[in-house]
Amino acid sequence: MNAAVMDKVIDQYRIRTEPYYRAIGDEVALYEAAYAVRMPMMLKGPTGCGKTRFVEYMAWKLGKPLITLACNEDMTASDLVGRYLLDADGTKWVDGPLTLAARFGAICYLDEVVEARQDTTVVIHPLTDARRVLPLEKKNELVQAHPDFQLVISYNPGYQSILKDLKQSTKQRFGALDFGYPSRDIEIEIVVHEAGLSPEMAGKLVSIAGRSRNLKGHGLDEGMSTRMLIYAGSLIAQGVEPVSACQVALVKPITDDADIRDALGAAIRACF
Amino acid sequence: MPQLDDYRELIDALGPHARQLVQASWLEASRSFSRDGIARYLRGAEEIAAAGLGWGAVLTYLRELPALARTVGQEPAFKSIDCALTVYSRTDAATAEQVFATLNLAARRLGDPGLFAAYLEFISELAQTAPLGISPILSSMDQLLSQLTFDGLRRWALLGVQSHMNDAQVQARYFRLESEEGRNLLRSEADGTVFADVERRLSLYLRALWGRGIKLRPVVHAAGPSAGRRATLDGTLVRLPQSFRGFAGQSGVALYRAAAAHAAAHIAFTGTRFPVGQLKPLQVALVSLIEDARVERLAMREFPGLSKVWAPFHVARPGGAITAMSLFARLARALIDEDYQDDEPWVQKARRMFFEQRDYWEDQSISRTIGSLLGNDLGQMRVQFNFKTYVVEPAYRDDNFGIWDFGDAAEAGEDDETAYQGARLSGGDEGRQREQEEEEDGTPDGEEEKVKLSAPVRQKEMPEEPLSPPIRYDEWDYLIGRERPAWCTLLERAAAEGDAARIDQVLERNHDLVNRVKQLVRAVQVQRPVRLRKRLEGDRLDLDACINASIDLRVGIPPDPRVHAVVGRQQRDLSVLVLLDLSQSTNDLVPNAGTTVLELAREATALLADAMERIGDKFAIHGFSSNGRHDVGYYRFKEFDRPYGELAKARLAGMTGQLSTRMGTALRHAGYYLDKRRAHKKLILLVTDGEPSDIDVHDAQYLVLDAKKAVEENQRRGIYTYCMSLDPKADRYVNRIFGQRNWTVMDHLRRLPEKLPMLYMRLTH
Repeated sequence: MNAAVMDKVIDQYRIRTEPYYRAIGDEVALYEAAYAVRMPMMLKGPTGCGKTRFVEYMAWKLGKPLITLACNEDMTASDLVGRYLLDADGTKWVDGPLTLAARFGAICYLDEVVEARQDTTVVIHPLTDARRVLPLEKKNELVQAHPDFQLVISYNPGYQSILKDLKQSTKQRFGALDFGYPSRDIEIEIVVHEAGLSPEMAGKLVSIAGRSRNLKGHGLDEGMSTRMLIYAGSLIAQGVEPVSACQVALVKPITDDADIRDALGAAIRACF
Repeated sequence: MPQLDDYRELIDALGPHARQLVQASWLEASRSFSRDGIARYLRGAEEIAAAGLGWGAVLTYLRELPALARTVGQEPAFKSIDCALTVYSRTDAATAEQVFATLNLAARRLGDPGLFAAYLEFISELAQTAPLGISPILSSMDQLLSQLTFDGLRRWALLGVQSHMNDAQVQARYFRLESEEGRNLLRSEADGTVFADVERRLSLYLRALWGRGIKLRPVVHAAGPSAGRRATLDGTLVRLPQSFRGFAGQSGVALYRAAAAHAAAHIAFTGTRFPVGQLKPLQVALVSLIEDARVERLAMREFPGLSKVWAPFHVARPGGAITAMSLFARLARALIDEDYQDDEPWVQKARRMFFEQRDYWEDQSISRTIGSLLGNDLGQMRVQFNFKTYVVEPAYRDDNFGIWDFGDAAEAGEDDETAYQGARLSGGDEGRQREQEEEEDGTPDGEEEKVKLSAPVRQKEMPEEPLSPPIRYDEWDYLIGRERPAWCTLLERAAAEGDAARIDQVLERNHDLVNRVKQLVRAVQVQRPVRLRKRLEGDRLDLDACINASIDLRVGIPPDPRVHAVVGRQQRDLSVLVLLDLSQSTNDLVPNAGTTVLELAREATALLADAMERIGDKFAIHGFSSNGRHDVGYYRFKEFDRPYGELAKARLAGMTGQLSTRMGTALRHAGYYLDKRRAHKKLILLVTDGEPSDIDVHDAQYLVLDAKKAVEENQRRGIYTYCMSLDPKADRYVNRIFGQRNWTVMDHLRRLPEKLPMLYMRLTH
């Protein structure tokens, strides 16, 4: 593949406009330092707290292309590294997202990596230690990772399944950043920016989320995420009446338990 | 018209006197039933006679049923036979006859076939839970149904069953409406909302708002009209009336919610109790009123929407007679409702004083200052105030008993004490005793209580013979930072056997749940090895697909790349050991559920075992209880390689709770069994109702840290431990023992049977 084609392929993965990201602590600086030594990174945190947005933002800030892959149970190693496809002239090798990123120097982001089976995740091992290579067995090729290449995975430790956990040998290849829900003021700022709400209304949504996070482990598996608040906020910004917006975007999605719905509904009314 | 002689065979089958009996009601029967119906009617009589209910019951049946069939239809009418037989199986023939005798009455009152069917179910259920109550409740059925809806009846009966689980005499009096309590609850039930129905959502509501567990318990009323009922605070425990009638156009649920929110505001903002000191009763009442307003204002700063919860109950208006009660109510409203106008100078002054302090509301001493000043004014106005008849208004506010420190009873003065109890309306020895019983798991002293309780148990003989030679386990001592070698002795004992049918009954009773679990199971069930064709990749070629691809190639069109085949593998390779805590405390009654923790654990385990069996997971069910370090008992109800059959079920049914909880040793032993298993994943699912404790250990930390150590040891061997805790206070220690995310605290014990299988599915999905 010549350089021009390469550029064209990888170009589509570049992030052109700055994604909105509000730093909570020193995670931006830490990530930059980690990238400087190309340390593979693991982002931990509950769903909807901004992990994906953070990676996008960092890719933009570092000016690197970003290849994202959402992992799932049925994913095989070939979905990562690539496979031979048949075409009219015979077979043709097609790079998978991981190979693509390694060849062209992109940041490869494997979202919710625990969802993938363990035999799948081991293919990332040679890329995440000093070797920085990716063997393509079927093609009999050893891809030397591009100097810009970095691997990032995300991981929600809240999943209560003993069958879904990363192997120690995988975990220990990564540096990790913990993500939680931002503090009240920052969360308000985020909701204001993303949903286009007044700070006052955003403040109410944030207190509602706080109420639901109180119920975590007591009927709720997970509290309301910042992402949900933004959805609720966007509905309110559309002119939807706040209590019904909260019902639609916050309460109904997270639980089917009638008592919890009732309790959350009442807590929401208490916040308005 | 059908003739008697057409059914001669059926009638003869009934026995020698039957003809006369049938004759008497024949005319009516022949008009009420279809032809088939008559046959069933007669066969029903035969069934009743065969079951041994006696001629009295048969006669009543024959007499009552035709009219019943006309009111509710044939099908529901015939269902009453099963109902009566169920009742008979738990009681006697006379009671079963009574069921038939009251059928028409119930049908008329309920007036709906669906409700009537529900009524029959209700009677059958009641026969299971309170067989001795059936006859009394049937005898007062006319009166009950004239005042209650069917739901009301069910709630009223449930309250009776729960309140007097252990005393059939009192229960019978309750059902016969001879006891004050029964009558009172009946009155309130006529249109009230019952605590048990709203408890869970209220406690979730409070947890959501305030981020802490605030315990809700019912108050038992001995007497008094429902209008005088108030919530009461007891440390961080909130007692709410067992039922609330709607008020000021609001429903009972709204009143409950307002009361719960108000009590929680006290817990959040009334930091210390006010000392009574030299305050007069009038001042005490006023300080309480100001304090109520203060905590509500503070709560509303955080949650503005609470004003909508409380405001509707403030309905006082200006004008009318100047009495302490009316002034208090007007002041309460003036402090909460900013739009409210009142021309009374005293109310205006109070309002001004209160709002001038708005920047200092956080300081609870302002309540005392303002309250006592206002009390003086009121004294000068010569307004009469009778503390004994005083009841806090509006109805959602608590009796304020919990925010005062009376010091020694003598110091507080006889008057105050009695006055408060008057307002509290929780009097009646019976009621208070019950409250105390309930409290055992609630208050901080409950714990001490338990330790005391378990101490004398030591003398109790362990009846079962040990199964195994004694096995010794080390125990971790955090003080010396090392193991005490061979410190604990574990003895495996034979599990007592009960009636296996009980376990099957659990499954029948929870039919809906079993079905739901079945569907979940289907999703995770082991698939038979199957060849999956037309895959993008796989370990072999799919010949048909290859041929097609070759053809495509020759033709010159892009072929379908899916030319491989895979053989699907068995995906679950899991060994699970369910470890049950069988300590004494599992015999505690679960509030509002009318059953014990152990019973719930048994049900939950039965359902879980059913689910695991369906999935095909390898599992064992073990249990433990300890009596000091020399005697840790361990029971194997079901073993890994044995089928889950009659024996396992019988053992589960025979499971009892006794002694203490030495968790670490039991976990090590469970680890020993799992270590021998060959499985990809190994899991101990521990179901416990309290923290580790034993009679010979007085340092609460010691066994907690030993259990933690045991969990870690198991973890090192690749055995995960997950804890399902039934102790609402478990947050304190489970995290330490099992580590983050390896535990769940049941927020509501009653739901354990439903939650345990679901939890298992989620854990292993």
